[in-house]
Amino acid sequence: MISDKLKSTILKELKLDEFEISEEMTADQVPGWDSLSHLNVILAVEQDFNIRFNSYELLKLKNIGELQSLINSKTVKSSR
Amino acid sequence: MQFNSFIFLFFITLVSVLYYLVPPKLRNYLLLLSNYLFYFYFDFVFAMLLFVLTSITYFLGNKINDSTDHGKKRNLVVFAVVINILALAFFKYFNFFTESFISLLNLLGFNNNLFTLKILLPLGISFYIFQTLSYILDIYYETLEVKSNFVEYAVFASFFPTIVAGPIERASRLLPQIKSQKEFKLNNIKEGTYLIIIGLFRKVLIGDACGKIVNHIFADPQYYSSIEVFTAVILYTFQIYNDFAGYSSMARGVAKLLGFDIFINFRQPYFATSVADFWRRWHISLSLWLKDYLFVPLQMKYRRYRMWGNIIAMMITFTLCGFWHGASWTFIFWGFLHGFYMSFALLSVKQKQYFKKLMPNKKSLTILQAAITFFLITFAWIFFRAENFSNAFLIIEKLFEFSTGEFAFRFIKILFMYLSVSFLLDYMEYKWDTDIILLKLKPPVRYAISVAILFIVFAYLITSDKAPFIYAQF
Repeated sequence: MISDKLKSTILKELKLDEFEISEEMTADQVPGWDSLSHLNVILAVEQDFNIRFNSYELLKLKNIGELQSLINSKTVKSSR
Repeated sequence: MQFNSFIFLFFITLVSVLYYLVPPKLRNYLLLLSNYLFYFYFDFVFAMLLFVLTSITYFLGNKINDSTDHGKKRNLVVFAVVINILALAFFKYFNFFTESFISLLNLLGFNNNLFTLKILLPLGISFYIFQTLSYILDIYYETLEVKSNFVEYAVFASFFPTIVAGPIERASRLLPQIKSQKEFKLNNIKEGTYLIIIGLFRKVLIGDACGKIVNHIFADPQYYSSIEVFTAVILYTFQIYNDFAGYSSMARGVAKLLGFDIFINFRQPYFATSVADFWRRWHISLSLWLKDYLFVPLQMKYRRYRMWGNIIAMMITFTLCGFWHGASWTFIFWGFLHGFYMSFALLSVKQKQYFKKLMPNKKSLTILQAAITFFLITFAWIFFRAENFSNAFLIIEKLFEFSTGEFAFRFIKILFMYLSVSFLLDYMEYKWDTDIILLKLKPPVRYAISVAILFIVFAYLITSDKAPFIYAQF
């Protein structure tokens, strides 16, 4: 499931008021999330969750659900 | 064996019939044989190169797939990418590098006679190497879900409908189709045939016809007036589009005959309202390739520079995109110019919003944006087409001479005619949301138009030299 925190980070970065985000959704299905704004969304996620991705992790992502799992794995590690 | 030749029409008819006649198990073998026969027809030695690269990439792909250690996986990917890029660099860019090096030495005052090799360009190398690289990278990024045997992979790497000039197919799209059982469907034959007819129309009757005028004027611009040079520049914009879109449509048609569905490579590119929009409509298979395997990795690497990260990634991607087209500084400059256009647009978003507010009428704003985009793209094409920089600057100088010639009105009439036909085709594609526009016409009209096109195309092919496809030389 997509957490409220991730959802609000994405919506805030893309200046969207309300938009339902599901796990299977890909970036291009979200209004305003194009190849240029992708950079800002990723930076915002890194900042809000206080984590850092490596390029390989980012390039492997296939949908927003996978981004959520990646964040989960990183936040679990850092809270240990 | 060019697509616009009788021998190819014979070849594709024969392959299509045999393809559905042989047992499904043997179809990929037949396809592989056809791919190599098609390639042998151009060059036997370079077919060997294709086979060697295919074998190496397949072997390394398997190794990457089986490896569980990430470090080892990455090293194997780097190795596979380097081998493919080296092959491309040697066959496509060796002459360029040595010649540039020699001129640099001469410029610095060193007289030298470094040895040079005259290396021939293997057909389709830029296209098939990008296809094999996509296979390696899709395995690495785990986007390729199917595992294929050697024959299936070799069919993918040498697929004859796309090997000459794309569309650059992805392993994750084409391999599953190669693996699937294909039934004979009359609809595929119908769609394939109409795509081939539309492609021939664009290539032979618009592209080649424009090309005849373009070639004369670009060869000696000094002898022509501004209006004539202007006509040539605009006609080239339509020549390159119809030549390449015609080829792509034929490639799609040929693949359709065999039950394959490949990329739609063009979506009315001259209707674009920005340069970025143009790249979403022009040579789509290359744009997506560059975006996924070059732009996004660079963008992620430089993301800490925020907007400048996007600009760095864009400038590198498009300059390399220019270099991919040909080993010459004019192509590099063409790519750089596109990167510059888009970077400029990114840096002036606020100013753009301001100007948008000044034009409340949405329709006129769209037309203005499309016109500006068309102007920018046409200007960049001058460098793409010109033999060298001095030729390009001579063309630009001529344009700004504002001179008119005896035949000015005739040239404008010719220009208007080709533009109307090309735009009409695009409008129908847009309106009906399909590239198989002939299928949208009522049967008697459709048959009449198809027969008429074929008749004129055949008459043209019999009586004049067959012009090669522009993109086949990249």
